Amino acid sequence: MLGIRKTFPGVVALDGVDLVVGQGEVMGVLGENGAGKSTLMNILYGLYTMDEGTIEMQGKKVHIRNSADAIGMGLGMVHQAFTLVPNLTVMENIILGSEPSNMGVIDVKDARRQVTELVKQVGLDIGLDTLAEDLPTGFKQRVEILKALHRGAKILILDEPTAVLTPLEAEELFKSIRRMTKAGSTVIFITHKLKEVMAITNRITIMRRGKVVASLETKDANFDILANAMVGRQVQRKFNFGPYKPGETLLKVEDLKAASKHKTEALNGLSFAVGAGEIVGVAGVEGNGQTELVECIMGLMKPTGGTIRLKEKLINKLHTSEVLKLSVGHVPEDRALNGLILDFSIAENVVLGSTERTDFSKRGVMVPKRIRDFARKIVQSFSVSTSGIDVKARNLSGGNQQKIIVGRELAGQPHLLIAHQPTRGLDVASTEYIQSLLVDSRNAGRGVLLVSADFDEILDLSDRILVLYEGKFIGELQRGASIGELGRLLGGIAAS
Amino acid sequence: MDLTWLILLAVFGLQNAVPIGIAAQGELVTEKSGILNIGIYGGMAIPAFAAAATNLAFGPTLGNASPYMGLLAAMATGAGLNFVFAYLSTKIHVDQVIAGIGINIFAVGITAVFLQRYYALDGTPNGHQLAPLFSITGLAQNLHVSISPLMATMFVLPVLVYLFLGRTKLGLHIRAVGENPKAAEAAGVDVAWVRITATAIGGILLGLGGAFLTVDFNPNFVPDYAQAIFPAFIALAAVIAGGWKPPYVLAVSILFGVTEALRPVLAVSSTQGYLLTTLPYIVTVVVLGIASKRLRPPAALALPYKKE
Repeated sequence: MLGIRKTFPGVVALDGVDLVVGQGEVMGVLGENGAGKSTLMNILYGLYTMDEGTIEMQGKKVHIRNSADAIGMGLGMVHQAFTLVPNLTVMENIILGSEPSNMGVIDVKDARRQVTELVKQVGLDIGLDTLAEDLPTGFKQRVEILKALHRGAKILILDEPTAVLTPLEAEELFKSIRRMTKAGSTVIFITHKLKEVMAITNRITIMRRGKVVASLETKDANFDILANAMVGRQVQRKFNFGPYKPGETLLKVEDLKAASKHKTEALNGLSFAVGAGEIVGVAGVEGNGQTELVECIMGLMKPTGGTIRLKEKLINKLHTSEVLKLSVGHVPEDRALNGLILDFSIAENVVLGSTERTDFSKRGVMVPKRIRDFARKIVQSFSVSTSGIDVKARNLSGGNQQKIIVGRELAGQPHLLIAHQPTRGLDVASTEYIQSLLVDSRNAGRGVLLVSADFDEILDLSDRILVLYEGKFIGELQRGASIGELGRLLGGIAAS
Repeated sequence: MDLTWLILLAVFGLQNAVPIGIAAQGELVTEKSGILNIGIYGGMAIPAFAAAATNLAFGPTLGNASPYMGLLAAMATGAGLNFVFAYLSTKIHVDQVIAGIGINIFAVGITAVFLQRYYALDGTPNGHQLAPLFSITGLAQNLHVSISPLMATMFVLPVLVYLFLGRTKLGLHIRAVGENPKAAEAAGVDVAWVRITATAIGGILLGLGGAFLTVDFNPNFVPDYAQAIFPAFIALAAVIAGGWKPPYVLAVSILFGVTEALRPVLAVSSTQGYLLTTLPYIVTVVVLGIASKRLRPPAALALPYKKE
């Protein structure tokens, strides 16, 4: 792939990316969230079309318009989210779309022989007659790999394949990858984990913000080189921090455990505290337990162990509405999904969650005038640009939507503010504004828990940084820590 | 003890079950692909009319063979009608429920128009009746039971449907698009066309079930809409209560047929009789209520799929 460029509205996702992969090798593509790894692979697999650039295979220029083209050229992709049909058996899933058949009737014997042979070849042992829905996550991935191979994939793209695997399963996967490459297959391995690229790849291409920043032989690489290349640093933003004087402990979490949707351990014994007047940053590449952590605190998810205290009060079993009443503000991860009701007006959105406040409703009937006054106040004091408070949230820009949420949460004068990805997808001005609101909150003596995968944001804002990796805190950094230190932790290398 | 009533109940019950059982297998195939065909009444009534009309048209030339022309006409009409319905909901993205209701209302109108234009408003004249496969006598006094080819079809169909869905390429594709259309698409399956095909196949069976009413049970079409509405919507319920599994769907269809036969067979006096008339509906509600707790419909049932 040469000179690949891809823009999405307002963003340059890929800017002249070159990627050269040799037959039979394992190429690691390393980068943090939003570096462009997945976009690049989706272009290769025909899911996106590129704006500029060429793709060549074995010296010949090829055009890949859709995934059928890609499959025809021997490409196979295993996504992070699996695409299996739950009520079909393993074998049916593997042969779906390329069934050996005779006059429309599936040749079951032939299918079984083909699949069994494949299984032997790559060493991914699996029961063929189990229903896909009954498989543990690691096995679902095996089915995906076998499916790609059954369709004749010679180049296999694995997108963050170990994100859903236990360490043991990951080890098995690595073994299979080695067997596959020995048999002549090529593997492109996308990851943010430093240990894994070091363990499995022959060569590594590191991407940052849509560009390739380095490409090297694995034997020439080490953790420091990789960490520095992966994280990098943009302009440092200046905020007006008051002196750091953490006050009383607001949030105290001890030995918190939780299971994810995939029934794997999402949180594996977290302990930390947030005091008044400090910003505690939880850093980590997405999918390392951040969502579960916030949901446990907010009562949106039941922890499987440990305790969460808010000013000494145990809140493990409380309902979300009760948690909110304990003076907690929450800026959720996905503003469109959990933060706002997009088809409601601004006025309706600003009283979501606080309709029980006595000044907003009387005996269950809302008091429109008070609500409208409140909405106007928020629009004004948080400089939301809109033509009025009856505008639907859907018609606001992301930045303005987020201002409404943050405004709504801060209006309740919370002691503790939990901000989850507060500036994701926002333009520079909105980002800075929202970030300054967080800093102001800290200076005003509020406790702020900032959970973010934007590492610049984490480094700029946090008084203390906790790095979450596979459901555990792998290390803690203080303000002023270097990117190298953060990069190593993000990649799963604990400080020695 | 006189067991005549039991035999009668079985005979009438099975007869009632034929249109339900055949249509239900068709609807099952359709629903497996993720399409919920609420237009099942239209899918049976219009072919039922086509069957009666074709039967009448071929009567003078083909004699006793003309009902078979009726059956063919019904299957073709059913397939065509369902093709249109499926095309609307998969390619043009018309809401499945709205398109289905539209087809039901269309059925009421179009059959009335044709009746008035070519026959009489109160129904078509009688045509030839479908000849029975064989007859059974001696079960009880004066009882002569004819077994219709369509009743035999009702019993064979679940096996065929089971093999079709389980063993053929198209069957596998139907199950895949009904459960996870995105995955099927990623595997190179054309979701829309598989759904359209499955719905058209379902239409063939809806038509056959409808034709039973107008060339077999009675050899004419009368605009007694209740007569076709009952088997149609009961078939829809039977698919659910039978858990989308062909043999169970047949069993539930027979249960509904037998319940429906209770009143005429027991010939109870008027007041209780009316209560008994409601029994099939009550049984339906109860069976669905119990069944719905543990049932798992095709995951993508009634969900439109739009390619990105």
